[in-house]
Amino acid sequence: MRDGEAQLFLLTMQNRLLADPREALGLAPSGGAAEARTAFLALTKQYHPVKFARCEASVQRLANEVFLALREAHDFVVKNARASAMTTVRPGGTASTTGPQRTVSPVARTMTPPTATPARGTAAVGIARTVTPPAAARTTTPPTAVTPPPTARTTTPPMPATPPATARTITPIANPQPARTITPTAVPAQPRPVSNNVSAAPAPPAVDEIALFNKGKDLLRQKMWSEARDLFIKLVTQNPAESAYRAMLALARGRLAEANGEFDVARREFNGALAHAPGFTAAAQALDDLPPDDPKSSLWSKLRGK
Amino acid sequence: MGRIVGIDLGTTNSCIAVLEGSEPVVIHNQEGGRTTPSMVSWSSENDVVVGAASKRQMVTNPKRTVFGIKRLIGRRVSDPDIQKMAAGLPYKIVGAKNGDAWIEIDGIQHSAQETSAHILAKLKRVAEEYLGESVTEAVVTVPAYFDEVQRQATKDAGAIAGLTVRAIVNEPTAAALAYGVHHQQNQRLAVFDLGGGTFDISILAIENGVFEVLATSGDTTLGGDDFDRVLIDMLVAGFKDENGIDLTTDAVALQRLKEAAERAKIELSSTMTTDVNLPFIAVGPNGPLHLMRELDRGGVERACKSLLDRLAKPCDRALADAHCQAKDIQQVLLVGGMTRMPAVQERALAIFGRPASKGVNPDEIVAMGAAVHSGIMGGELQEVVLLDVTPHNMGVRVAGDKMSVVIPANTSIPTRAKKVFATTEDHQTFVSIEVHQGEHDAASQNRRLGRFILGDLRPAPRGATKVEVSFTMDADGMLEVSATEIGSQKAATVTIEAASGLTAEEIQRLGGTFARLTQAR
Repeated sequence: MRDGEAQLFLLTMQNRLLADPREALGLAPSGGAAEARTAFLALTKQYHPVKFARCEASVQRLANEVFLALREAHDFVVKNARASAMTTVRPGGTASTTGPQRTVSPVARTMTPPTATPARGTAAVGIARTVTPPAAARTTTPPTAVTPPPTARTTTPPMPATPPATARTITPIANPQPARTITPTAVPAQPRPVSNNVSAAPAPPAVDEIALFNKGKDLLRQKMWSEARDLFIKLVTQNPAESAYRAMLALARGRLAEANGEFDVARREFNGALAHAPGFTAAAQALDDLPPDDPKSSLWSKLRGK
Repeated sequence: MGRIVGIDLGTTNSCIAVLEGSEPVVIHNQEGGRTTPSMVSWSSENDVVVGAASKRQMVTNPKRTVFGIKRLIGRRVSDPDIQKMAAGLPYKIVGAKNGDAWIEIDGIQHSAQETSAHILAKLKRVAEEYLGESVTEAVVTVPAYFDEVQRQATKDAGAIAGLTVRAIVNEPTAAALAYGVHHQQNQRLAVFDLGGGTFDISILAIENGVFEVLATSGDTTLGGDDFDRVLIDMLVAGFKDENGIDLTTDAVALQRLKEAAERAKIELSSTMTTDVNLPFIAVGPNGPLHLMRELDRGGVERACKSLLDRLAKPCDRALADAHCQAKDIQQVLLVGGMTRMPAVQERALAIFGRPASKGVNPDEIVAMGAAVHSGIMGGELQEVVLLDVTPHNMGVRVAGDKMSVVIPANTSIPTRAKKVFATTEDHQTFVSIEVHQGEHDAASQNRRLGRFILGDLRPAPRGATKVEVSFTMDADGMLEVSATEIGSQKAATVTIEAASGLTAEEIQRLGGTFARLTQAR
């Protein structure tokens, strides 16, 4: 392969990996660890740096980066698949050992203080606010744009005949009522009711997701870009449908690229963040902070020029 | 682009192969041999003789004949192993200005790189004659346990000989590649490589055409030479008992003994007894003395027991690092001439519980694997690729001369790893990042690869300033280290190029000399 050809080949993969690791690996949504492994091995035969050993040094460097990203993508899918396998395989004897139950009920407990039982009319807003990671809520308008979709959607047990009490108000779930939150029987009665005002609100994400999200924000605040990136990658793989996580991931990646002086990469990332969460002020700000686009310095422009 | 050749630069013998179609083919040298003795001698007129010709005149020219140069390459003269080895060699080992172990012939010092380059240059000519075109690129194999400095020194030897070394491949891995090209079903392999100077053990998995090294281990000071040494000691001790004369003080006698010991060892692989006959080995008060001794396999094996016992530990460690047990291994490959010794085969059988694969030529398979790797690089072999590991811990020296490991041994490469370090003093304004390689807990006992400084830190109480150190190792084992002050994004990055002891100018100058020599021939 000639240098230019190889570079384009590698850059295309790099972008696919940045955009969506699962897609880049060619995985179906149901694909698990074994599929990821097979895909990784097949791609290794095409993208291993040794295949570019006779190219110029910059292409070899790029090949190393692409391969590292490929392995990262594989590792995350495998880890994630393993984690979910563990939680779903176990029988749901108690809430603390089963996945869906465990992840839903504690959130309800922790997110709403017992005293803050909202009035009926404000229930929907209350839920939206409490379950949305605060940063996303601040940085995006309207807040619902980045409200995490239910993590539990795929794993939640089928809804029972909805008890009217839980359907109309969120208090029973929001309140820490041990009988409800810990016993498995209480779990089906969790907030995905069909009733009017609460229906818009998604099921709350897992408590560890919120903690992670907050930690990620802290990392970003401390300018620890690569840690933040790793953390958001984890969140995105846990919950790929959540655009807030993707937006934050893109922001972290962009900041990292900016720190490394790769402004064109940074620009692409920040734009990606805005695409995931329109009105994401932090990303807009970051984009403004970048030095003006110099067409000569952009790798893509160089390629286009050729 | 020309062809990339595959070279097994061995301690005792070297071999060169090239890919024909998708088949690795060993190239015969000018003397008709499929392997070339790794020997270089300087005649009294200062002409350089390499290979079989060098081996033939070794007995008459012992002080100017260098063998086993691979054991010196990239090593310090202060290394106790080198000191021990130097004591028993007919040629002279000296310390170069930079502290490296060099050799001295007739008062002229030669680096190990230059000496190895003579062997590589000969192999290069062999390939050029066979292919009818100029050869400028090579894949060269090294023991898996070689450190960065030894690898870089090997690359430099290639550069001096006029070869761009496109990849350094571990010998056991190369053997697995050569074997696996024809046995591509998914399986786990153990490659047991006991060569002239080193012992390597690698555990690999072949999965859908991807050869993944799971773990590698070894002993850099265990090889055929050590077994020869045991036989020499037996012969010398016997002679001393009979005649009261110590043969080790005579370089010519020592050289003859070495040759006879090697031959006897080889013969004992197929027979139970062998005779060593060395007439006129010394002169006693009553005239010339002859060494005549019958050696039997059992006696030699007993004498070599302590060497044989050292084979098990690296194997156990490699199996543990690969997270598997002996029963998970479907195939055992024996590589290196020493694995012809029945006692070695018995040990391998005892460790892995299964007989080794037949039909593998232990002298040639490594060079063939290097040729296979060249085919992977050149695009001839699309459906095969190799994922190797780094054989040693890579880390940073921290307070108290401790080694803080960033990339542990047996990590699949390429890889990237990070670690955060804090300052140890109040208002510290710089940190010195010292990169070391090795398994010892004390950093100073490991190989130092390089050092750089991250300065202009914000003054702060000790521990408050944090520096993130990131190691990136590419697929060829090249290491790039960067350090960033957390919070300020102040950063420094260096590519750690293990210095082989020769400067770029020296390599170029020697390369020029070699090119002229080749043209003159």
